[in-house]
Amino acid sequence: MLSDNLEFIELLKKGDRLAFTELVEQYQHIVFNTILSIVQQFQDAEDLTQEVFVQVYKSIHGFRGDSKLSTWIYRIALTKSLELERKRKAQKTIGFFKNLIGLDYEKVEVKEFNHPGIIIQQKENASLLFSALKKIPENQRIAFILIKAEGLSYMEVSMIMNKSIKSIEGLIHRAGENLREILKCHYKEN
Amino acid sequence: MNTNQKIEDILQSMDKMHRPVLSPFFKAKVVNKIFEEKDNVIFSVKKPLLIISFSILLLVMNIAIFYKSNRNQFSDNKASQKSMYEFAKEYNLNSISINYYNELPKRENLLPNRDAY
Repeated sequence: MLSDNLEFIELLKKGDRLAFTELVEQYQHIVFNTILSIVQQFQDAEDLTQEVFVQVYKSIHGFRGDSKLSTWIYRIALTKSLELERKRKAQKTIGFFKNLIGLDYEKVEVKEFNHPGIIIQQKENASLLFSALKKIPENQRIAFILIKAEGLSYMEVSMIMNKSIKSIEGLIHRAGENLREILKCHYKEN
Repeated sequence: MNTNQKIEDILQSMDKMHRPVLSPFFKAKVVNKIFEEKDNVIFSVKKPLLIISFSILLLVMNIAIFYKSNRNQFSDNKASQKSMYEFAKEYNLNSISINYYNELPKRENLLPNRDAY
């Protein structure tokens, strides 16, 4: 892969515009898809993808080459997505308390998420899966998305999440169990 | 189709997904943003430095001007000071002092008139 070429990384470190254009070309869809699967909002995902590349530009000097460049970019993308998730949660909590004490608070309606990469026949199922994914723990969700949505191997996910392959297997197993439980409850309620 | 089968179908719905494609302008937008930020970073680092160095320069200039003007008026350097004699000579004050001296009351006039006693 061109991005793991040492010369290419050196060019990035020197702030070469062409090298960055090449990097964005190579990773834009990967980064966008990962972020979109986590944040589940098209506009936010696009903005965060931009931020990821700006962050890559700012931090490329700190890239020591211990891991693949792609792994490093995935980590930045995940960190940014989780930051946004936490920010949303905090806003939700503030909104709840504002509502409680009678202050004006505009409740943001959670829309059903339709991933643009899902085939039409699977849209309904995928929408249910994405809403269930929001309810499982962060680590399980990330492992599940990286494997299912990005099609990465357990090895690659273990590098990105800095965990052993065994723990990734465990996370995927627990994610599957939790998702089954959530979906069962959904069907019981409806 | 029973519920378990439905759930398994849902869990596999992601398997056939493909990556969504971003707009063809996205790349250019991102690269422009990166290099815009680069310029901003350079400017934001340089701007305060410029302000600080300019302020220091102004301060040094003010101190120099103040010191120079004070040095002319109240210099402690004795060697550079003119003696009162030179000063008087330069401004032709000798005659004034002489005149002043001449205008002083004479000593004998100041003494009590002995004849009065």
